[in-house]
Amino acid sequence: MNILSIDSSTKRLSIAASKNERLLSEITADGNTNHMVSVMGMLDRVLVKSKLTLEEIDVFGVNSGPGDFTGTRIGISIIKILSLLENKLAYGINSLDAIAVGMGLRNTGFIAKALGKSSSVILMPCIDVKREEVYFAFYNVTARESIRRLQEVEGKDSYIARVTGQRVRYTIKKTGENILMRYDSLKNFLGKLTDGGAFKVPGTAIEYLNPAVLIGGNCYLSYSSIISDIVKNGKIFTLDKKTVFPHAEYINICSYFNALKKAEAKNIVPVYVRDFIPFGEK
Amino acid sequence: MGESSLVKGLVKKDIYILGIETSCDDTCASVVKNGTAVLSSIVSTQDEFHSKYGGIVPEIASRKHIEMIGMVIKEAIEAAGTGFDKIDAVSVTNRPGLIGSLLVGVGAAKAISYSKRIPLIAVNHLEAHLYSNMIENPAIGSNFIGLIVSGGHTSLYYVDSEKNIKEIGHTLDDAAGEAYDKVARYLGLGYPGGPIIDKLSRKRNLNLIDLPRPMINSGDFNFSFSGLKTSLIYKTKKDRNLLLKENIPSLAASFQRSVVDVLTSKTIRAAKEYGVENVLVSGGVAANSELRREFLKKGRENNLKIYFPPLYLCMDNAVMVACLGFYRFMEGKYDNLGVDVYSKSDI
Repeated sequence: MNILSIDSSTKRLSIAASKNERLLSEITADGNTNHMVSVMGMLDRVLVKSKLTLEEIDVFGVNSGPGDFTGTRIGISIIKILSLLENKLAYGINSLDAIAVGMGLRNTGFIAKALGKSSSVILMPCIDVKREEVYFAFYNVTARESIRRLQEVEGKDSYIARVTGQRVRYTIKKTGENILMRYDSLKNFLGKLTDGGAFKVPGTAIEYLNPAVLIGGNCYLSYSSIISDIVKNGKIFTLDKKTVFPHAEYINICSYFNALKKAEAKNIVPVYVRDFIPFGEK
Repeated sequence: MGESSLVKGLVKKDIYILGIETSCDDTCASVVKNGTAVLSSIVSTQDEFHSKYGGIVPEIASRKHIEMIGMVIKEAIEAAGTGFDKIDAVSVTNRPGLIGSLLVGVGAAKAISYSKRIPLIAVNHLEAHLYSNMIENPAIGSNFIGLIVSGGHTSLYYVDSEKNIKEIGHTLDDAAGEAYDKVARYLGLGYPGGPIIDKLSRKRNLNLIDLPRPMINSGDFNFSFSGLKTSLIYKTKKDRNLLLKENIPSLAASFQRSVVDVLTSKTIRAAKEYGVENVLVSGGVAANSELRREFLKKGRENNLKIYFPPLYLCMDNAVMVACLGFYRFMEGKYDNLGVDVYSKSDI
């Protein structure tokens, strides 16, 4: 299965083509592009470098947010229409899912070590969504779980992706809902979830024993002292400084697994973290 | 271009252009054949979403475009019966307008151009409005005065014999359509204001209130409408009886009378000054019945031919975008896939 995705939701425009879980080619710009101007040229180059034609793409993916207002729309519009023209499925992937996958991919060493010590590994992608708020979610990582078994036990939404470490496949499963919160409430909130030594997933009855929580995303760039404070004690929380922004490769992986799960490809619309209330609303 | 090339006099091929328009709050797509035959025109309006705010909210407009763009384009192609494969080029508005809205249409157009390997043509929304008159009258390409009057624009253009477009006047504050929306909101009449006020204005007492004709003798071709709205508000605050339910239609009629006087007088004067015989009126307010009547009357009196688009092409639509795209296509004036979007007009 060939996958092509665009992530135009941040300053770093990123486009990638993959074959199943394997990346063929990704181009990620440096943060100085005008996305509308650069996107088609980059997309063409990715296909050329991957030795694929547009017709050979089986699934399209796009980061549907949360992210930059204008940037996100560029990717969604292009992917939506490409999938219409090529008559192929397209998935809108939430930024948090994408970053979680990236964190999984880039921290297989940490994951292996933590699982070796019988810890529960929790990924916490956390992004700055302005207005002094952050947006995050939790994902549990397990090893050697058969995908089919996971699906049977918990249904199609049970996992978002698998990533491969040193000869081990890890399964990433979302746990709980996305959370929007003021940045200055974060420390207390996380403290409450972990007091007593286990990790209580908010809004659920699920508890993970011996938690090892990895914090990723760009929130540490905006709120470095708060995050440093949270990871300072070093026992439960660790900072992943590598996975700050979503990449199209991660969108590819999420889209691939959506296709495998036969997830419904809904009409892709941007993800909003807040209700929009214009001035002058009656 | 292979099979698409037109060899004059020997082989004649029909040219199909797909037009896409998302500059403001209407998501539109259309297929036009040879610049004159409208095979489909799909418009998804957002009135119900903006009506409670009395005007357009850019963030909401952009959201609606991204929700609707796929469906609108698909429907335009299906209704035309051409499939995507018969389309020779895709024409899209990339300026002026709301950035968040323009991006949706241009992104979609780029995807079509790339996937189907057909030229992309990026057009100016205002120039496209001028072309809304050429669907039914393809011969008037040049030597005319164009008035574009809508919710977003009120501007006068002179188009010379070489088809160069020069803006000779514009509104210094509200567009005429915008003034209609604000007055309608003030009088509790609903949104959009134009059609409501037009309907209410028929056969009313125009002596109930005396409103100015802003800038009618300014000596230039600019317009102003916010003072007219202010004058109406001021007079109705001074004499509360004017706002009684039975008087509202006459207030609406007086407001409309003033707008129509200003628009027609200045346009006709421009036509005479620039020595042209044809006047093209476009934009949402071109659907106004009193404006049409008064223009035709003054046209007859001054030996000028006045053109209006059919009603369904006065509001924003993609037919005019496809029509303009056709002429560009025939001139070989394509754009590359790196075109940007702009909030301001270059004409």
